[in-house]
Amino acid sequence: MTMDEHLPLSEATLFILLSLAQEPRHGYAILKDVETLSQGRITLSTGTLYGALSRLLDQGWIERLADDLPEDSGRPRKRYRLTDIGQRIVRAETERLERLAVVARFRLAKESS
Amino acid sequence: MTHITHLMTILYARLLGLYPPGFRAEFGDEMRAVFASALADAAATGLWAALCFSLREVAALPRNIIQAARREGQHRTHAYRVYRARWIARYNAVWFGGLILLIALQRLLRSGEIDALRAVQMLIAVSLVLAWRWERLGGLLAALGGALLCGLGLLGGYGAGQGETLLAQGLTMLVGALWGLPYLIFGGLFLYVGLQAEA
Repeated sequence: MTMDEHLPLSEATLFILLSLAQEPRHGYAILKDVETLSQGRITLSTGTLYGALSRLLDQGWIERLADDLPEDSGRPRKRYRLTDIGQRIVRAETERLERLAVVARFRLAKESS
Repeated sequence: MTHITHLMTILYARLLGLYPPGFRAEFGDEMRAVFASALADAAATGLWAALCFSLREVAALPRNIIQAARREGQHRTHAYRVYRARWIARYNAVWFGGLILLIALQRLLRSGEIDALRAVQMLIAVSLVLAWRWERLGGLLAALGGALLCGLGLLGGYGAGQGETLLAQGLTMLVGALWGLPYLIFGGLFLYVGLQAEA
């Protein structure tokens, strides 16, 4: 299966993957980061987030880190990290969006001139 | 406010019980912690925000639960099969047992008297509904009661079909046996789920 067969990604999936692109994060940090990245447009519910994380784990695009960071309350917090496949998927999706944007800009520029 | 958020977190944790067991075991604790943190954030801006947040979470639950169940179903785990059987049994126990009880109660209130057979049927329906909580005992009672009703139905059909052709008599007996079949099936399903859960 090639990368393109996984594309396009849903906006929520892309933002979750982008959220993990820089550093491993735990669930709540992903939730907040997705909201920030999407400028408040996408507010994931807890169930939606973990449904997506479960699917991404199964697909091998993300992985769960073994070292659980204890929260202030003492509860373990699991962090998630982008895998190599996940990074390739995000790059492929970004390139696809760039191509799309180039075509769109070109067409709009032609129409306005 | 702290009490309200605490109550909401407890309620959410209870609702997480609706997720399939595999998913719940893997993400349940994390989801509860994330919900509690997000709720605390929302509550910091006011009660209305906390309520809106909670409502949004609850509204998203059915879709997420169905998706999680579907995904777990694709894995075809043993736990998922038991989980699915449990919910099939529960759903049917509530509508079927509840409906039978409702009809029986309505008749009882209207006529003011009850015959032995209807009382037995009501007891079996009650067992079926109670099997939601006590799966093995309720399931066993409902299945035994269903078998009893099937037997009685067969006998009744045999008696009613006397003098008819063999085919007509057979059909009457079959219809009679169908009387207790739902109790037998759903009670048996509860029994299976209860025994599997214990194993």
